[in-house]
Amino acid sequence: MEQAFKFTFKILRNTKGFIPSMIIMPVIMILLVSMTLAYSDVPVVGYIGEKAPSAANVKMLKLEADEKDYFLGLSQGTLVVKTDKEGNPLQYYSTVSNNPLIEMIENSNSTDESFNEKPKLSYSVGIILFKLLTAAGLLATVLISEKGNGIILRVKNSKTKLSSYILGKSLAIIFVYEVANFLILLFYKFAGFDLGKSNIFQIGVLFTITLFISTGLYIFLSAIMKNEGYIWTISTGIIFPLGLFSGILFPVEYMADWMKLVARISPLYYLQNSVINGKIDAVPILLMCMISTILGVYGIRLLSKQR
Amino acid sequence: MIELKHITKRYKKLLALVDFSYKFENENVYGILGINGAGKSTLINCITQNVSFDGELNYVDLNIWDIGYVPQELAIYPELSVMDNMLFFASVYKIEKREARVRSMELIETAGLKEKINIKASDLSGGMKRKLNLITGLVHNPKLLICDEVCIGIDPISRKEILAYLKELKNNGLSIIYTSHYLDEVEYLCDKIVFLDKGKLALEGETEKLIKKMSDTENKKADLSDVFINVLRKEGE
Amino acid sequence: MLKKEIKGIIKNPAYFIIMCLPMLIAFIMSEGTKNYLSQHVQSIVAVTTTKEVIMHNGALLNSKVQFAVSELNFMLMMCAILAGLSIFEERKLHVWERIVGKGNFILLKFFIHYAFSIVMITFNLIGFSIFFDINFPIGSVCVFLSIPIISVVLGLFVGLSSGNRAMLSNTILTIVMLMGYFGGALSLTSVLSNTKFMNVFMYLSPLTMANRLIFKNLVHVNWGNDLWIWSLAIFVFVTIFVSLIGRRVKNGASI
Repeated sequence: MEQAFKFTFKILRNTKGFIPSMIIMPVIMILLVSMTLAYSDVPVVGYIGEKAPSAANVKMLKLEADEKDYFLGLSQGTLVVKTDKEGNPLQYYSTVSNNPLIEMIENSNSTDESFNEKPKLSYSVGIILFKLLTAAGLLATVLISEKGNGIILRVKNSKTKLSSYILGKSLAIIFVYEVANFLILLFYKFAGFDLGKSNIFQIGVLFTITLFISTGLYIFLSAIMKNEGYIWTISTGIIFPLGLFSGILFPVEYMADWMKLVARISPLYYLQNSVINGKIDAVPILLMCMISTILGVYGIRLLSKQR
Repeated sequence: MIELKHITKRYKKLLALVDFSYKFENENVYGILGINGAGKSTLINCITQNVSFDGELNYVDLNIWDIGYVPQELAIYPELSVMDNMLFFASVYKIEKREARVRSMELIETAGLKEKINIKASDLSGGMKRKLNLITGLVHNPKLLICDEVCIGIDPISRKEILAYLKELKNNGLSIIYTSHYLDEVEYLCDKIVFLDKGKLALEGETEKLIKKMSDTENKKADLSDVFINVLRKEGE
Repeated sequence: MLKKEIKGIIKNPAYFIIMCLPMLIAFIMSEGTKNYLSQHVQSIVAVTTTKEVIMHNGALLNSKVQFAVSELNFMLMMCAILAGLSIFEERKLHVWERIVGKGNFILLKFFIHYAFSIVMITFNLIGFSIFFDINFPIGSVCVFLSIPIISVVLGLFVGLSSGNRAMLSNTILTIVMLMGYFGGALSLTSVLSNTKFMNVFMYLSPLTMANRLIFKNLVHVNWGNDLWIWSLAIFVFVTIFVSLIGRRVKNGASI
């Protein structure tokens, strides 16, 4: 196992493009995070004038006068404020009657702290969990290609148990992704993310659990599949659509009710819920870990017996 | 050494090996011949237990890990260096680190890869990759080496070098089971021949004797290709 | 040759999948962001203000409209991959070397894929009208019709330059996904334009400009300079890529 770990790690390090992809991955995630960040529940108001009205809980966006109608048409329920030189509201343009945003601006006073939006982890963690849930796809591709070129047969006919070989390989891949996880957590910490009810340690544990679930699932898939191409199909054709329903691109809370129901069959939903609530959803996560272990063990058995 | 009794292998509707019985003795080099689909690779897969089959397979004075297997595909890690590939395969046979390094070094030198020792396998030429594929199957000092079309797709010089190396191994007493489509390779290397046709044992015997018999029958200097064609003709009839 | 091209499109399921995707993705994305647009401020207290409040009486673009526009534009860009693969296959099968009038051959590929895009636009506009109750004015339709000019030219260039299928797919997918990402295919355009940094980055994608023109058309806002900017962008893009295609053809463009 130790040797399998050591050599797999070496292989990963020597694989062209693997390390950059491990660096690119966080960068892409940061971009996606910025995108999902936009789904924060802070209302946005446009203002026309030199200075924005002071309102601590409203995001202000400077507009040109001719952009007013476009802004109002595009962002439902929003408001445009015309201000004087000091930022005092002169006139409101609203898409809804009795717009509560008017009250928020009217009631705020100039001594309030200025608006400071913090990126929300709960809205952006879905994509990272998806990436981690499909992380062991790499292990599966390696195992399938080794089944094809005879390496697995060589190992099976050697003095090393196939289970220990696969375990070593899995650990090497988990280790690499744990390094990436560590970088992501560091990014969260230093970019001043609003972690909500969770803390860095809890999130780290959940990331590791996700990797564990992924490993079992993909070992099983590598045992039943002959073509590496199918692994990609599983990741993009099944896990991604499931992820869509469980917070990859939009937070669950904004979804239509039928989508929230579908979300419940996705592992990502429970993992994400645990991050948002700051409490590990013990029953579904334990169940997923158990299923993953069973699948992993069964997958190894299939690979050992496979002829 | 290896005894096969009434081995039958079926892939769905296709019968790849039919009631095949044979004994592979120690310190011999066997050439397994046959046209595409004759059952050569299936036979190798049965011997290495890579496929399930009906019948009996006995290893006499031999463990499965005493077999060195060199598949047709390159069973090496392209991302690892020549030495690392050797050390990895040594490690799966639980060879002690220092011994593994010494043994690997010997094999690398013999295979003429000493200058490429720290080069990634992916950066080697086709012939060198084949050589590395071969020596990774030898790193644990096997009693029997099984080679499945090891010279496929390489240039004549590398092919000659690999064959010379295999001959050297043979002279050192290693048993080899060798499959190939190149009859000259088999004639050069193998003491005994096993002809397969449609999954059945069509002919077997000592290479020299088979060729001599053929020469006598045809009244001309025959070679293995004549024997081969003759077998196919007979089976066709 | 035209017959062969038409047959090729009819027999290839990828064309039909791409044709149907805009409606499907627009539906899922809009359902997923359904509750977002209402600003999340609920108040039962009557608003009292001494300032004048002018009600907006123009059209409002809900998430269905926003995604219908973005996804159709996104998939029209995705046609680049179809055009690219189509010409790449000819190169791979060495049909390319046998073609005497290479310029005409490329033009044929362009027009056949452009014609497919028109069918795709018609199909989706009818679908949006029936299922989503969205009707697009003629100005918007013209903007939709301008997108395939970019995508097919891009696809043909990559198809003529790539050495293998994986490289071709990866190159086009990366470009188109980024364009789609910044162009509102994965997130509401309104959300992107209200977010720090993203409101600038989004203009990296030509789709943003196209979406903007269509949205303005839908809410009856004057296009202003946007139309000129868009026309200029198409002109510059097409000029650059057509000259690159010309150079590639001159150099043989064989695999």
